Amino acid sequence: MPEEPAGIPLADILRAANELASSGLIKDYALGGALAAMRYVEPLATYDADIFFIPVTKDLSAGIHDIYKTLRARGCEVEGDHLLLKNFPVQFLPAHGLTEEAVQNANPIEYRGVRTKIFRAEHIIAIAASVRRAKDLARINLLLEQADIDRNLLETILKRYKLSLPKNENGNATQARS
Amino acid sequence: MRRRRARESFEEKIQKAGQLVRLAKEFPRQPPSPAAVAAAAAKEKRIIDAIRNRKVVEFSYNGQPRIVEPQTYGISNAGHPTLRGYQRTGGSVSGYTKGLRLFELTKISELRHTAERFAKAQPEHNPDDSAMSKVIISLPRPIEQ
Repeated sequence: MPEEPAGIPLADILRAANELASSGLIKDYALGGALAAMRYVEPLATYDADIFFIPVTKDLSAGIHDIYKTLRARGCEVEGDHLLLKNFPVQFLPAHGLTEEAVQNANPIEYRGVRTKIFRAEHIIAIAASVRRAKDLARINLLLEQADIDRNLLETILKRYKLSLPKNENGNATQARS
Repeated sequence: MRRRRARESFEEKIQKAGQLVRLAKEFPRQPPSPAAVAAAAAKEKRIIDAIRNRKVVEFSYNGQPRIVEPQTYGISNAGHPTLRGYQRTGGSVSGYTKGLRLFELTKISELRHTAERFAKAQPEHNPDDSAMSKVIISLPRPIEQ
């Protein structure tokens, strides 16, 4: 496999996550956030990678200390809340509720020879609708405009988690294109 | 056009996003205002004083309050003024609340000294911090204290 192009060392990040899973430190994981959204929309600038994982233990710590300890031992630095992998910030976030469902239903893909899973567009929209920062609302609009959305699935997820899409300038709920 | 870009392969898109990230980092920025320069200098002075006198500091980082024992201050390998500190407590999105970590000066806000002092550096503290291209001030190794 040729050297990964400079910028976002995604294959290295996914390899590290796969190692955590194979060593039993996490049960399962999937790529979420802006990098996952990029599978469905045009490229966008992002400054971190979000790895959502299903913890081995259900206690509050979610095994996060062991994860950080393992990755620090492999040379990762911790900057604020991020691990720096080849100077690129990565967040390992324990999944629960909607994000756990997103991990369990994520699409398997292969990226530069690394097998991984990536959130479905419908779950990315639902998670963004639950967080609702300005960048989440922008992400919803991008996905609804550019991605092929399973509208039934999206509506089911939104209903199950009592979420709604943001209203557009006419005061109507934003709609996925048909 | 945008729909066409959305149809590119994931690998191509990640490569383009990487170019965007690089461009954003390299793009010449507007010079900071004199007030911002003065505020950064004051923050730096407070951090250096805290390391010299082993004062525990409190600040907000990524919108989360943190209590930190400062260990080293310098310029990171990425070229940013950075504090290496041991976070005792404080919010964290990931849930990883304790431990040695880096804090970029520009992202630190509401910095203040607490009344508390700490005795010595953390056992894993290294004054020749590999994450720093230039160390401005650092605690001695714990064994030397």
